[in-house]
Amino acid sequence: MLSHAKKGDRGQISKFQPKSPEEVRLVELGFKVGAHYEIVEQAPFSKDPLVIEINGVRIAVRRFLLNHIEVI
Amino acid sequence: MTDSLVALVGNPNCGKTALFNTLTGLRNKVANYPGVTVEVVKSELSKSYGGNCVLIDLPGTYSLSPVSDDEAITSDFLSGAPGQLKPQLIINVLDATQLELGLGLTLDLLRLETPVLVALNMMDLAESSGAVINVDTLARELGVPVVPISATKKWGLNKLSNAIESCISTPQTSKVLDWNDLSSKGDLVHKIALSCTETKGRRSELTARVDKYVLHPVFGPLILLAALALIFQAVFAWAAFPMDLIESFIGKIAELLSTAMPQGLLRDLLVDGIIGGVGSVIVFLPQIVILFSFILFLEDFGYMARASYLMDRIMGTVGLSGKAVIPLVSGLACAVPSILATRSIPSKRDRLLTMMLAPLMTCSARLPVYALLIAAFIPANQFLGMNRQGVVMLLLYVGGVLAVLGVGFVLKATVLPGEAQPLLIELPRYKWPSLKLLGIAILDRARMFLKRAGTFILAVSIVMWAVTTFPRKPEDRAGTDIEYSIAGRLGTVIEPILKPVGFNYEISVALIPGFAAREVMVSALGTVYAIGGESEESKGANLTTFVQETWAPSTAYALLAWYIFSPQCLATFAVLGRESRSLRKTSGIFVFYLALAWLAAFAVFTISSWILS
Repeated sequence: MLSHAKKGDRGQISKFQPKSPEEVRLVELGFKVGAHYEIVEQAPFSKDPLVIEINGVRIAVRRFLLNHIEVI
Repeated sequence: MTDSLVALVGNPNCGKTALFNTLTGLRNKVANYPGVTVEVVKSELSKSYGGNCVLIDLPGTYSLSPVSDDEAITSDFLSGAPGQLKPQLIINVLDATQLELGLGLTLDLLRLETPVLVALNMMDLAESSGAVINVDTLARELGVPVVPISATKKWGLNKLSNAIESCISTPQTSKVLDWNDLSSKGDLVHKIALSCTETKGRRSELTARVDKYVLHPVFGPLILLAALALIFQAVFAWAAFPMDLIESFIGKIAELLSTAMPQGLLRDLLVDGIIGGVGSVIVFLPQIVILFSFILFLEDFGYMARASYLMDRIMGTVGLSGKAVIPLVSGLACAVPSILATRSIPSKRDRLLTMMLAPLMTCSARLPVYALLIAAFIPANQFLGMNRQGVVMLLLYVGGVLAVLGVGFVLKATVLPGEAQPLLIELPRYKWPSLKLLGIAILDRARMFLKRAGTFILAVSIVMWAVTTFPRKPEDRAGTDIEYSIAGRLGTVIEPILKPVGFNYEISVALIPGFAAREVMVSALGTVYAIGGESEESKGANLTTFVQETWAPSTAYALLAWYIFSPQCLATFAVLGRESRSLRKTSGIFVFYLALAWLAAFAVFTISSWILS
């Protein structure tokens, strides 16, 4: 799950079926199956939100929204 | 023939508004964060680019499936919502440095029946970062004309205007690219982007390097604090000299007029009413210019979205999302654009909460009041290496932020329960703002401020002078002129309510026009005192020294506390009513803030009187 990723993690999205409008927005921002990602930074203490770079685009997001994204 | 309607559509941060400003010559602000254009902005294409059509700048969006109110404006407009004109042509502005991100929206646009013209913006940036985009291939894949441009460097614009003309005169329907669902759309986007990008671009080195510190768990918040501290220090230290110049200039004019004109009502109106009233507000122009310079620079540079990320956790404790930071920060300038900017917040509840809190941010209209009282009551000596006046100003701004957090907490616990929607925001690449566009935006703000001083404040000053002058006291009556006037009588009515918080009679009178706009209170005080009983001795002395000599310090402190909360702005509450679509909530929040202002002033007055005695 991408929602469990830590700072510095890199990988590829393997499965993502967007259901909510926010998840659809994630797809539009580049969270597609096969996309490579890197966790750039995470907030101190809670480690949430985090900053993900995907296709060269940086996105700040709460982990909650990444719950349905499977990664390898 | 009527002018053709051309709509500009694109992602947030794609340079749409910069293109719009360049093409129309209009000075609409450009900023590097999502949600700047929250309303439809319309202007004619400038003659140097062919003229004959009306350009419409729509709020940025990633697709035509909106998740927030500002995005809904765009999709409603393009799909021809009832009562609206449909555009004859859509110019889809694509950011060449983030082609794949923008193409999703392009595919949505191609499904509409309106002809589409693609303006491939930021080609200069894309090339310098190593990505070579084959424009012909992209045009072939999409089936619509593609024109490479750079909106800020102004190249490719003549080609674009030619393309606009030919697209309007011979409308072409684009080849329909087919996809069924989100994932096949994504595949198509990827395929197109891959086919026309010849070298894979390196990611922006500048952004990665700067973000290393700006997003850092320790340095990030420190940088945010340092940036704020620098702004306030600058607003005080750098503005002092030009402010002195303006002040002495206005003083000279007043002196000249009062010696040149015969004594009488007209001289009083000109010198006390108009020059005294408008002049006392114009003095704050340098501070407002400096404040806006910083805010506009940070927006254009791309820092504001980072601030949302850094503040998300803290905002969450009061039920707000980090996205609320952007409208709230623009509330430092004015609550009206701040309330409008809340449209970029997707959740209705979060949006309502943010706009209800917006009036608590320390807007620039409070600046004249704070500046007057600080100059009069806080010594300008050094304190911990900073100017003590700057420190107090910083504390007042912090007070405003604490008020936002505190009231947010209360509202979350009472009228707007629930959690904020989880943060999701693009962090745009850092871009050095074009100094010219930045300069235009700053000048625009200065012009708006002066226009306000020349119209609204002028009118209020004249009305203030009239209500403090008429009816005139008959010779045989005892007491002062002001006590006999309309304002004096009104002041007598509210004075008992404000006595417990340490406000004297003159403050009570000046607060009345202050409900139209906060800064009017300063000019009103000028008017009240210039006409008041002690005016003979005080003439020539400026308001600062006069207030310093006649008020108790605790009264000044109480007035500062009052101004953190007081809902004294007609425009803000008018916009709040319109945007929240709830008269009940708007009037409720007005009364609530009025009560808070009274309580805060009461507490500060009581405590400071006790300490100082």
